[in-house]
Amino acid sequence: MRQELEKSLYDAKPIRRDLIVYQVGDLENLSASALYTGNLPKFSAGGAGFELPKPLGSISRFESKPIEISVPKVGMTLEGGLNIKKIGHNSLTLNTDYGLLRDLYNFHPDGSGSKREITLKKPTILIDKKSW
Amino acid sequence: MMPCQKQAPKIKHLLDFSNAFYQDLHGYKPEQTKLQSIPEKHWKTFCQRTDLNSNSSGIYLPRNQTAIIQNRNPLSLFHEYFGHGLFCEQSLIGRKLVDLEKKLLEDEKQEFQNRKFSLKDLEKFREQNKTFQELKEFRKQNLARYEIFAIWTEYLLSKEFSLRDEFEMKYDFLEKENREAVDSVINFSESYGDLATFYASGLARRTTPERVKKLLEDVYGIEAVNNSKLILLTGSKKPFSDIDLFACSDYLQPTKNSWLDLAVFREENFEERTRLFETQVTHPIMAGEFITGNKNYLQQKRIQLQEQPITKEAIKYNLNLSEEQKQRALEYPEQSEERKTGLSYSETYLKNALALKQGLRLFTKEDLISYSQSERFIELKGGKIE
Repeated sequence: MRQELEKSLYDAKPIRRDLIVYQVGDLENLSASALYTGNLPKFSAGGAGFELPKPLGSISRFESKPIEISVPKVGMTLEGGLNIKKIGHNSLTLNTDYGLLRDLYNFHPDGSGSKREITLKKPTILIDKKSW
Repeated sequence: MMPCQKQAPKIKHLLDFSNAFYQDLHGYKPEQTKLQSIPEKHWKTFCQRTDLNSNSSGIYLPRNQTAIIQNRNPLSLFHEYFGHGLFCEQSLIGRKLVDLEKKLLEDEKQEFQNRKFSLKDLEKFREQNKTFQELKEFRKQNLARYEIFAIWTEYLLSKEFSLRDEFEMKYDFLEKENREAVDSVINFSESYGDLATFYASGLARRTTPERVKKLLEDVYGIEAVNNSKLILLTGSKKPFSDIDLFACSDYLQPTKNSWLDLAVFREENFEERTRLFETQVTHPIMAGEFITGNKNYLQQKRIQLQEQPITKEAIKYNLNLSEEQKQRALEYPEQSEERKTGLSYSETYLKNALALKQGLRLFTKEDLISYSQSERFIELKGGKIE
């Protein structure tokens, strides 16, 4: 009986999907989330939450502290690669180094500032100056 | 000819070898997953009848935990049976998928028990079914995990059976994003080993000293592990908890992620903390399971803790640590995990200091908890809390 059923199942000629009639026993094979080898959707390992072992900076697990904000110092590199070039009484000069070309930013407490582009090939020549 | 083929010897060999490989590596192998092989000439009809994608060479059905493969395709066997099958048995995500499918199956049986139905009827029923909606969302969220794991399983086993060329050919069609995702996991396994890749994928962790040692050797290198003075297994050792390890080592780096938590103390620092009865060190010494290192040294430290004098310095040291942890904890927002953890450590150090002051040597966290409970009992008896 089982063999007959299996034979009828596998040997059936292709028919239109909407014309197939099922019985309750067929539900076992009608999985709602069948996983296929082919027809992969787009996915990324990031989405899978893959984690690499990351060494921690401190020896003890219990000694991690919230991020501290340091006092600005000359030579310090900020987020985005800006370097603190000069700290004045009332101003801060930041410097982006592109190799032979640099951007200098000046900031003042009153909100004003300027940007200068300087090329090292031609020292001290001001190419552009924007004030705001 | 019978429509449903018996498993050919080759498949049997693949199954036997792979089962032994998994048992040895993990301490488990697929147990509940069923395997069905369908001859190539019947594949399309089977897929049509069961509303499955006939372009695929294999299918896994979570509701009855069955891997169905076309003919005797070894890569499909690896993907469906050892990939999806094992994932659905031995990972929390896989188990949830199976549970949701089984629940939906019961709802569907209830609905269609006395009548015939078409796929349209079934689809209509599912659309208004809450379990189906939950299942749809859950599957969408985790599809990457299922597929990456199954493809990586193919990669892993294809190496064991010299089928790497077939694997490369099969996945030659992968789109750039998918290729990168698969490559990143393959690179991970090449860098950190098979066991680490299984654990990072969320599979159950049945820890034994031998297995943990192998894992550490793969992740940190044999030399770093062998040069370490002491590595101990601590923590709950539950299959879905992280693996808690303690090391006295000048060669390992501390690591913490969802499946591995390795605390490392440099040798000199470890000696100092042992002398001062610090719980972070005394607990693993007394309760940890030996993984590797110098067993005699561990024994010496156990004896030292039992016999060394309790000094005022040790009591003060633990009191100071308690205060320090409390201050650090208070730097974090209320209700944050960091604050809760910090305060809990602060309390542990305080209990340890008080116990030491009474001349008690309480080495493990469990000892300290029962000590504090008995303290509370004394307080209540003495009528201090009214």
